[in-house]
Amino acid sequence: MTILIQTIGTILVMMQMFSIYINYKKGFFNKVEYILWEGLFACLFYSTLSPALYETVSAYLEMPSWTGLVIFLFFIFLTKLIYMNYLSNVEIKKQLEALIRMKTLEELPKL
Amino acid sequence: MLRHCVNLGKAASMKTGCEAAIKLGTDYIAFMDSDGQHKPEDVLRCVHILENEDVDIVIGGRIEKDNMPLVRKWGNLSLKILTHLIFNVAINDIQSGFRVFRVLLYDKIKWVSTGKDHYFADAEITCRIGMHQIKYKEIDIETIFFDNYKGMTFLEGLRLLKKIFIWRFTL
Repeated sequence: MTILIQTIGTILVMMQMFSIYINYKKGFFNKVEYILWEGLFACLFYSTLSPALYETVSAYLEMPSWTGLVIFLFFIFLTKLIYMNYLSNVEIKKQLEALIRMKTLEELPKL
Repeated sequence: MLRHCVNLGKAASMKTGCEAAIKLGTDYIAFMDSDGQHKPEDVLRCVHILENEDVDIVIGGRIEKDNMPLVRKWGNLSLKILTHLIFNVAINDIQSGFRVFRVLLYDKIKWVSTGKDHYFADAEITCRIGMHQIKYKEIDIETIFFDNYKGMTFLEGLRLLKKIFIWRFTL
């Protein structure tokens, strides 16, 4: 069973890392973002292949298991990601609305 | 007529309209729903009231029809009572889309409801009237429905109730 999960995990991570590379080449990410995302998935890849390696860190942090540590770290990351996504969404919406309204009002003197 | 190149919803259209009216140097601004349910003659009635009485905004309240579903009647009543209790404003039709007001009032009643909440702008204006103790008058207006009433759903009504509570602390 473990080998099946590791195989699925490896395939998914490889696909994701390739997608990040493609998006970097397309110019959607800058170098910092590229390294950050690739690094994150590399960590995931590492934990998929040898989860026991995290036991030293979790033991140092006095956490009951290494899975708890991974879940905890990913939860923090996910929360931050949701917040950033929400913020950028709100900003884009507001800017778009302001732009459309400004464009509409520019037509006023022509009336 | 001004038209947004992308549909931004009712609340944003109302804002653009107000800003256009200010740019044109008008004295009064009138809101009417664009589905043809309001009569333009009523605008003149409201302007007459604004010119002769000590009020800053006139709201056209829709007359409740006898065949209105009970759930909608109760919904409207709950919204009315809640707005009265929280914002001390006794308006029967808190969501009426028919309003005429003085241009100077725009900064006080400027609404923040946009996006998926764009239909709550009218209710927000009502709450702001109470919050700033603006002098208002509500008159009965006749509404013409060309098709079945497409008002709020039950869930949207509940969302508006929640919003009114939130506005008490955020407006």
